[in-house]
Amino acid sequence: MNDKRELWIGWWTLVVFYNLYGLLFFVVTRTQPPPQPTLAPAEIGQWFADRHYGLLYGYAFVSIVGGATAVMNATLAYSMRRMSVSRAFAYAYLVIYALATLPGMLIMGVVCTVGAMRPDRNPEIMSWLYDFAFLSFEGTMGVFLIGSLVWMVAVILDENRVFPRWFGYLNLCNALTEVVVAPAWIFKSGAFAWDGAIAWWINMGVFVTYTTVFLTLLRRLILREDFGTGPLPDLATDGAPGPSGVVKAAG
Amino acid sequence: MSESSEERVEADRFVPRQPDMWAFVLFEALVFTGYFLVYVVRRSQNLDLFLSSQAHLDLRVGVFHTLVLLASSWSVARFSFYYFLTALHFLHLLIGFGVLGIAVHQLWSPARRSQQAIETCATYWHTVDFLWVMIFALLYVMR
Repeated sequence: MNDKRELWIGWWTLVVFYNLYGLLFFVVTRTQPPPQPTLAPAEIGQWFADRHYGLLYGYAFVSIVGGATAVMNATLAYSMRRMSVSRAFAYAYLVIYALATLPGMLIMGVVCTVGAMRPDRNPEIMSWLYDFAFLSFEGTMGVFLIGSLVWMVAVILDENRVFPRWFGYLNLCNALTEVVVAPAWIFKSGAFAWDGAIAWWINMGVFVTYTTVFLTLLRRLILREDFGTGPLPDLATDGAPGPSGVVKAAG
Repeated sequence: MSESSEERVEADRFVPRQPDMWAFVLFEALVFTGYFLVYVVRRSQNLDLFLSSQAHLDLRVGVFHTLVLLASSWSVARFSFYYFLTALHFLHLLIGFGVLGIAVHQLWSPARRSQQAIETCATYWHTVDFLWVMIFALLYVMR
């Protein structure tokens, strides 16, 4: 009954990783919020120069912890394996999020590092790297779109009450905001560019909300988990200790 | 949407007005409020341009004209909001057709009818209506 250590390791990996991801992308490398796509080559050179050590050290660290996404994805897929739905949902989710790691994190990290490594390069080449890095990051959106839809259908079809239905619908909201990023491939400035109010700011607001919600719901899933195959039991009382020691383990 | 367990869940959890789908409605309303605010702010920054663009909207009726417009001026910035909001609404509408299909499927057989599922579908469908009323008012009516 108390064998939830593996699940808590997965859950804490998610929490720590998302916080680290925020710290590394927003504070250390300062690649987020994204800069303007319209910067001139000279300004792009300056952009790389301003972040020289942040990019090098930040993405070195990202490349070390990047593998944690495997544990995270497995924890997310576990929620689908606990549902009454086909295993295909969990498999599809695992595969698609494994792919998302590449453009959303590693390619962007490598390309930014390539730019930072030799700051005296031709500005035209630097602006090529700049576009490549940010378009690669944007390119994950279709992956999150399909991943959210897979999760949505699983939650709605599930009979084991692993997650509330409204979380299924929230997945649809998240998926729809991912679609909204697509204009960033066409527009270089304004609300639909990759730094725009609609393509980035609103989308990021929804994504942070969505992530906070699913972390909370995954925590409740682990608290409720009885390692059976039928419907998950409810928590005795919201916030009250579950089976002995579980809340303590959750910290 | 299997019946037996859903009926059981209904007995436990069913309350009128379907809070699950209303959570979606609330969240979508918040997101669209964000889009509308961006539109209104950009419009106020460039009022003359937006007003002259709006005058074009009245002339360009019909599918043919829309296609011509799509082909010729997709990249013209002033129409970007028009295309964005109508295309996003169209996407909601396409999902709505799927949702209506679920409602029809539920209603087809008396054994399958789930009030919860049908009310959820209806709530989604009317949300799409409501969003269109807002978009129409912003794009066509607001002066």
